[in-house]
Amino acid sequence: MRRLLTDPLQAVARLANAVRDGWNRFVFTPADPTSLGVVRVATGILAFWSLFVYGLDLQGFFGSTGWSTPEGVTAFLKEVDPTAWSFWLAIPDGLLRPVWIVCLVILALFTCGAFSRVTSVLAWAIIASTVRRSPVTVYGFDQILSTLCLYLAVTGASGKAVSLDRYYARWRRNRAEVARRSKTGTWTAPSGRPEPSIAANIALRLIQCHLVLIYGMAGLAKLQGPAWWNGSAFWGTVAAGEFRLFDLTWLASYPQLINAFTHAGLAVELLYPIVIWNRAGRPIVLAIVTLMHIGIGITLGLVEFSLVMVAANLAFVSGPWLRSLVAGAVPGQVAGRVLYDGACPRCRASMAIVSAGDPDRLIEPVDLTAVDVTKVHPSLSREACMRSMHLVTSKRKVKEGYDAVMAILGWTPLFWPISLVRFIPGVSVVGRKVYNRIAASRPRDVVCNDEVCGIHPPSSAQVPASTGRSAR
Amino acid sequence: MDQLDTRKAESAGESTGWPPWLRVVATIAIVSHAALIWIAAWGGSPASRLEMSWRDGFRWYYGLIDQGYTYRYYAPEPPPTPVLRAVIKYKDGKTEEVRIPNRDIQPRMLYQRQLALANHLLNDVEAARAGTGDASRSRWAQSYAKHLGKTHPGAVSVALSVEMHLIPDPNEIRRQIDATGKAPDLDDPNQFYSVPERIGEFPCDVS
Repeated sequence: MRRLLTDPLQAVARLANAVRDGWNRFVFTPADPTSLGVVRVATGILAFWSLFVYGLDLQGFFGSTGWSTPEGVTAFLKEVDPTAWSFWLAIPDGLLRPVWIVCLVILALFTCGAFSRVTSVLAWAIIASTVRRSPVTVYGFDQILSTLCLYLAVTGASGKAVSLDRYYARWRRNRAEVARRSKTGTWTAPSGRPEPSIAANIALRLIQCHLVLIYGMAGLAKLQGPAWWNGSAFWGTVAAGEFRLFDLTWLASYPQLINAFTHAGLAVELLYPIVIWNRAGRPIVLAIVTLMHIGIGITLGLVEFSLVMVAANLAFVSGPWLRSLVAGAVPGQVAGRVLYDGACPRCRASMAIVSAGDPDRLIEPVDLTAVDVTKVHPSLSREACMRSMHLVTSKRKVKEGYDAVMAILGWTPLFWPISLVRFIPGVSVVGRKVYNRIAASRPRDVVCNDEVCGIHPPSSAQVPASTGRSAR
Repeated sequence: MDQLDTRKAESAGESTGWPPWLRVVATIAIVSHAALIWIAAWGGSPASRLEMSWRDGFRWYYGLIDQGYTYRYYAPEPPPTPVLRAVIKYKDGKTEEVRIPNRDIQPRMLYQRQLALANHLLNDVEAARAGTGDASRSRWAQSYAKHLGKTHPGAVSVALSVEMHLIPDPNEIRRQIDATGKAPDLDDPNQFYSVPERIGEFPCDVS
């Protein structure tokens, strides 16, 4: 008899423990913030673009005599969302343009991940205010954008990877590290892999769960419509005269193709909330929804909406996998050894700058003043290395000077925009000359070879002798 | 690779884990937020009285954080697209017609914004008509007319109407393709547009 009472209680206790453990694993396990950083970049670019486009007719959208007047919007918000707010409603017409510019700057900083804890909150405030100021121009894109901005802001984790904040922190560490380089000539920059974080995991989980709700609701709501059951709904989207970018009316001759696309689209939305949680099924689901959104963007011209949905789906992509796209499949595998002049302050600073953007120790800096360069590569000579920086790739290829710099910048996502200039005709010729001139005139640490300098060490030699610094 | 990463993350979590009180606070916040977002998504029409009353009870939250959307895209079916037509009359008797969305506007996102303008106007006009029997009482119709009057100097009145760009019947399209060898022009006003519904004529402030 007693067990009739205790067994159900134990079952409930076991269930409670299982729920607690599962919840802790789901929410409070630190996650790699790389994918969150990529979501931030994509969200920031789209937010910037959205506000920029509003700026093409700023008075029309936000002005006192715009499509929706401030009085009309205030009355509308009082009716539907009494607590809704928008700073745009307080901005007089004359100040709209300056405020718009400030907002664009904030969104640019947010995109780059600069001061990200602050700029992510401001970015969300800008987007939420914009949505509320112009409710007559809002469509699905704004809903998703606002949601992403909310989660990026509230968790404060969006700048933990793929950000200038992190770059700055790494650069400071690397600057100290390069100054402390050991007698072996090599020094190890801190890993490019960001620290897993609970805040990042919460942000990713919030985006993931919200995305599941969006697809699920979109799918379930469609079940009310006969066109989604009889397979004709796809036609309704591609033949909508105001949306189509291309003439797809030829599809009318292939009704079963229309049926197939309709059923497939509905199936994706209905199955997404279930299959996306399965590790094996996730890449397939992500590939399918990406294709679906590309299709929506191309056929309906809803490019921004499609892009923001793809951006949100990045929350399901593995951070290490994203990083491996630029750092290589094998973590920590060195792509090249960089021979630089360790006695040159400018060279040391350059190595700190470049290695701070290294996604995962692709570059191994080697101070040529402390090693036998022929051991790095038999074709190298100390004289040649002193003339210009040399890069020995993992495939034993040697690049020097300007070409080495460009190769290294090409490995570092942060510097990709700079590395692209090499494709402009003539830039390489000028670049080599400029590099050689800078390399030839570079300052070096004063060599201490007499007693006087031994008493008064040069100011550039900031590192204690005990660390084995090579000022001789 | 994935497993390795997870193990590293978990081991890191042991040293950087949040204290229990913070986990409890975070759990309450996350669960509450998720429940309210869920309620909002279910509370959009069609919904039960219970769902709608719950949704209405938390409007303050949705207003604060710009949430509460229902995400019913293309549901129950892809709808025809509203097109706003404004006829602007000038002092000298001339008239000018403005079409929203304007097909020539660039970039494409501005076109999407104009599609939204027409869509929101249609909803508001229908609500005004249902509520007062007079479409011209629509808040946004009055606001749009005022805007068009201001942006077209010399305008004395703006007459608004809305029509639907219809979705063609695929069987009819197929028949026309079979008969003529080419698809019909989906912008043909005689075939693929509804009869324009007049919203009203709004005088402009010419002072």
